Amino acid sequence: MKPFSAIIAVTILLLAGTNGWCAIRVVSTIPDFSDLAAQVGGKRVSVTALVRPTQDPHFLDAKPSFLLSLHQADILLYTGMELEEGWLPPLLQGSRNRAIQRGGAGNVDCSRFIEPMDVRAPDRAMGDIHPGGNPHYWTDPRNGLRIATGIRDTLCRLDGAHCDEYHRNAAAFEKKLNAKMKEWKADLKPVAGKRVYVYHESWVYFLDFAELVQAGAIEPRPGVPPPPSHAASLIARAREEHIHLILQESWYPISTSRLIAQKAKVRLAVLPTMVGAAGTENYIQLIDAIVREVIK
Amino acid sequence: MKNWIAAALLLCPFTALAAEPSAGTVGNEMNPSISLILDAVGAYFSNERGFRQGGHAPTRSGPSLQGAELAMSASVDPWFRVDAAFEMSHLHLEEIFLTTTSLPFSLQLRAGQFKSHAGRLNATHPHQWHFVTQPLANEFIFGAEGITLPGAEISWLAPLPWYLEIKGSLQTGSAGVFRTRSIADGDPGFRDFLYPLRLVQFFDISDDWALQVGASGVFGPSDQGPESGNRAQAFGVDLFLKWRPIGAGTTGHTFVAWTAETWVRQMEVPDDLWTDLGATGDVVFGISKRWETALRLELWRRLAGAMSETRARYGLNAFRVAANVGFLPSHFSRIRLQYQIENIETYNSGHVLMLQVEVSAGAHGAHAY
Repeated sequence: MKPFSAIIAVTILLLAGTNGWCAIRVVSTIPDFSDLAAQVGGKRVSVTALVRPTQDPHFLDAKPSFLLSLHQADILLYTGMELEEGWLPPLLQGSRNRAIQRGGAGNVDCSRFIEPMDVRAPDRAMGDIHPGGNPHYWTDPRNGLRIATGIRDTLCRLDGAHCDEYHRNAAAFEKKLNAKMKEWKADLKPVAGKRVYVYHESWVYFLDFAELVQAGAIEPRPGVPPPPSHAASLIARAREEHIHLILQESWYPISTSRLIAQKAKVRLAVLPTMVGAAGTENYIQLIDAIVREVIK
Repeated sequence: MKNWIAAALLLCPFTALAAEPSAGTVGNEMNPSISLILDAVGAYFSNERGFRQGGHAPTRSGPSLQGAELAMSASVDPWFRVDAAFEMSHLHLEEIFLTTTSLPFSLQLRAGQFKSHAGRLNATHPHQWHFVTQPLANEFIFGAEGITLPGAEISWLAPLPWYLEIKGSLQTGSAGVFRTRSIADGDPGFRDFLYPLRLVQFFDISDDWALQVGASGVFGPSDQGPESGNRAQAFGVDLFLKWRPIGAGTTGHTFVAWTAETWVRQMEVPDDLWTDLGATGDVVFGISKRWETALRLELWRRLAGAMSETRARYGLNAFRVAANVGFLPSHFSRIRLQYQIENIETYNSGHVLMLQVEVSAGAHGAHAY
């Protein structure tokens, strides 16, 4: 009877979709949320990110291999505000995992934890505008802290037995991040108030933290590649408006930004935005890398 | 035994607690997501009396509407989701089906009227195609609209380290060489339904390379004499290989995707058994966010059985090449120019030029891989 009961026990474990000695399996879309979950969950969570750190999170292939990760996930952390609308829904549906479906215990839209910026009526004539606000909020460390706190509360809700541990981990992370935020604020002080161009409107939250001013975007409308006339007008304006810097992610075409930078004699900074890019290993290193590039 | 099971549950107290709903979600969840998808085409046929495809393909020189689809989807409750597609240009309901979200044992059920999984293409809509027209093999086997019929589908995600899914459906109606006999011939039994089956595997070779392989079979009553017990069946294998670099400095919009699909079709008809082979191969090149181009080669051959006027309705020996270039002003619109050269028996060879405009407005959802 014993081998039979052991088989049943193993089957229960498999049906419960467990592995890694029952660590809470957190799957995130972008790797930043995975890192924050690891900081708060410690050894009690295993984390997997679907988006690679150098990949545009708007445009992923809905690979069936992602579906396997989601099938076994206890918690799904995603950006929301329809950033992942082009690839996540069919994976979520195919995952057959009730816990992470909308309304499920493990479905965590991280945009709920932050104050949205750029909330505009979603009119596609104005480009690919996301309903609910600008979804590129995680590069503001103040939002990093809010997301970590939201993850802490989620873990507590699902795994109350270890809530104290999650609170301790989150408090330790908050202490570290607060200390770093003071450093970053001091480092950024010399550039505060300066005007910058961005390629895609994905920097509003960081710029708000850094007290930089977005004076223009190389994409004339979100998601629409720039025509030469728009680049020419940005070059002309850059000289008049004393543009300090051009910011863009590595996955956007660089030729127009480089042209504007050369012609207007403005520095172009190609920045990492997700943990794992540019050699970063965690969220604090990521913000560190961004700040370093901005103040260079 | 109880001790073992209790130990298994205790090892994972977390899983037993994870049933409480989340604090809330954002978004307008009470209303279905609605989108409007328009496909319009201007065509030129060098041979005005040449071969014509059915369904969404243009059939004469000049402008035509390929499709105007009103698509809707919504969560019904925690257990079901519903999807619908109404084809406004031909005023018919293409699809309306529910999908379960959380059946046990990795199962999922679809029920209603839906496009079944038979090969890579049958379950897709025209705006998902990389070409203006669907492959000849799909049309000759499953008809101009594909297998889009009422029924139910069960699929199972295998508990393996790689993705393997098996899907099987039971559907009723008429699609290409398959037809459920009329109710006038008696109540249908299990032999009167169509049974599309598919096994699909996916291998994430690396961040940049992905491979999907599938095998499909469709079994059902033959369109020629279902009331006499004539049967039809189709067996297909497909392969999809994609290279899409996503490392530092890449845009992710450059890719090469190769699809190859082969079908063997058998159809019982009064006093004969027809066997045919269809093959399609295409390569799609993503050049940038705004430009893509594609090349397709197609072949259809009779393997056994006598040729007749009736048989010609289910396929002709054919060889066709199509090449196109597409410009995407945004993620929601596309302008595509396609050139097609075809050599199809009983028709003179011909050239076709098509300029297609495709737009998708509203909350148009994502597509499966």
